[in-house]
Amino acid sequence: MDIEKELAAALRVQDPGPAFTQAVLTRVSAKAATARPTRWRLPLSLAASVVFAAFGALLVQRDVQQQRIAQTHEQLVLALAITSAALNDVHQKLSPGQFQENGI
Amino acid sequence: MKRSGFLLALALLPMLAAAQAGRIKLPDFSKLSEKASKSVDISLDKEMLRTAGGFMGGGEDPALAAVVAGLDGVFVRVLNFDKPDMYSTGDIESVVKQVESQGWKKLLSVRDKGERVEMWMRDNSVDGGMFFVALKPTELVLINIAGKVNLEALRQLQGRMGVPILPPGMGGGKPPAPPAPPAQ
Repeated sequence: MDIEKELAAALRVQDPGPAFTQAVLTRVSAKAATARPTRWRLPLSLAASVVFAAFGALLVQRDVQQQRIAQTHEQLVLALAITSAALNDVHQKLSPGQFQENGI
Repeated sequence: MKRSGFLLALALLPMLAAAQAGRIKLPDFSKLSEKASKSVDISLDKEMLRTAGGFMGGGEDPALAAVVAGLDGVFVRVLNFDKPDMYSTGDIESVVKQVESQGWKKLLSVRDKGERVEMWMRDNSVDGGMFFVALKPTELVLINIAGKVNLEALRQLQGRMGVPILPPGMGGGKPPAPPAPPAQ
């Protein structure tokens, strides 16, 4: 019987009092004041994304340019090799009676 | 009227400059290349040669840079065919007429066993320019070099990078000695 009374007393709703309420409200307002403002987060994220995208595009552009230069270089070497082979071929054909010269 | 004429002349200046630099308009072989077993189509204008020159300016090959230094353009068309008679001489007549009409001088002409080789140079020109055409039964080669061809510099390249050993008198001769190893 005593146990029932003690249980009922323990479960009874009690008002914590104005001091407790004031303390809770004070802590909530203090936390809100120290929190970082969120209004810059989106623009900052966007700016960072733009910077990263620009940097990436720059790298890609540099890579494409280097590939183009290397390709041009290969073409030039091939063109010179073909030209040299052609000159070589002409020289081998140059013998008396086989050609006509004009101006030299 | 005078102003429009001046503007027209101004607009034509780059074309005139290109013509003066020893560049000729090579025919469009796109249809002919479909019949070819192998084809090479290289068009390097001055800007592209400068780009390649910048690449070589990094110290890769001074000899190659020297060859390129005087050039305004390199244009090469090579078509190889599996069978003879896959093209006609009419395919290149427009180019030959072009160089003839522009006062180029035929340096040599060789006709041998169905082969025809001609080499043309620009006459009385400080810009230089060379046109080479070789017609073989299964091969067609057209080369147009605008600018000064430095055979001595080309000689420095012989035996390397696919450039064959040139005979004496064509910039050829004894290949340059390889660079000495660095002293220890």
